[in-house]
Amino acid sequence: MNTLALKDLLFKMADDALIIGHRNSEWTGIGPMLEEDLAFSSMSQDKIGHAQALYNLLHDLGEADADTLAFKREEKNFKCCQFVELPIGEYDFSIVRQFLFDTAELIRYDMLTQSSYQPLSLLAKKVKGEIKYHVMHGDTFVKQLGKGTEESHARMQSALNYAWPYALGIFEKSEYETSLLSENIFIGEEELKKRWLEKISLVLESANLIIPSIDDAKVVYGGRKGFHSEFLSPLLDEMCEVTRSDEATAEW
Amino acid sequence: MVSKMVELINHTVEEIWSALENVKDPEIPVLTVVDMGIITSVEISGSIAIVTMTPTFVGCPAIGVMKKSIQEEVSKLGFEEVVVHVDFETQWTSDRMKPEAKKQIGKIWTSSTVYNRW
Repeated sequence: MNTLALKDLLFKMADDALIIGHRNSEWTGIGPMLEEDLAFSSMSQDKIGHAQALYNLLHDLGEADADTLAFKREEKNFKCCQFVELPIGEYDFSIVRQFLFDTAELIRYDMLTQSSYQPLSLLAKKVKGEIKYHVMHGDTFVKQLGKGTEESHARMQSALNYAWPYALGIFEKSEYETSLLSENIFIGEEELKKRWLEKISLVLESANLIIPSIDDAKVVYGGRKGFHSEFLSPLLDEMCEVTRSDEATAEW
Repeated sequence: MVSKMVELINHTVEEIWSALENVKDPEIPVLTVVDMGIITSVEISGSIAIVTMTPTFVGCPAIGVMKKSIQEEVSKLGFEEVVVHVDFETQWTSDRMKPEAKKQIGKIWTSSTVYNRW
């Protein structure tokens, strides 16, 4: 098995989950209603759990332990897409991102239930069952707000326009696509993107929202190769502050 | 030494299951890990007890505490080592819970918790 290809896949998935988990946790206590405080908090907990499980798989493949991978890596070694790094913004943007990102996650994990790497296929089966609820959450609010008032519709369309070039960056190809496919580890970003577009198109259509048409050159790539937005570094500083405050001697 | 060996050989998996009934789920302390259906297998290999468990959800923060409690409780039977594996080979669903545990949990949990977990 091509371990480098497998690790690259696991790192980008784990880093996506950790960073979106951190971002969405910022809604705790400030959501528009208590149910949303709970929903975003709960989804964040799930995501950070997924990150931990994926880091554990990396640890089994010889990488450092999960806490070290989460809290003690340099920014350039993170493989998350820039979409998950963006600040939470207004509630409209956070909902649009949650919907777009989690739909991709659900399809990705569904594909991975067929992975030839058994530890990943078993985990994917479990994670898929959790993300199903995240997608239900995203679908519900996208439809409700898309078809709500004139203002809610305008805000959702505007958030979608802003999110779109970043969302397409989720599917940035790795140098290992061929290996992942030939070894049946993962079917690949292109196929994932195709299925994602089919799924989100249905929901967006019923929400009266229009998929922006953009030039390929505008798609925000780079995250998968370690090139990040200006927002990741401050996020990591905050996330890792406690760990870094006493790296030498602290035992947690 | 001999008597200790005999004592170990006499242990059965049923005794381990009984010991596990003393391990509470720290998030729902009226229920045990057996009531919750999170123990997926119990084996004995010589003087080692091997307990396998599966979390209700991937990010369950109580796993570490439960592993430790299981080790403590099963160790009381006299095993040289108690190994606790956590894996997803057998996956948890609410169907793994004992019927009486389901009834009890229905009284405790709020609808939002149930929505997000099941």
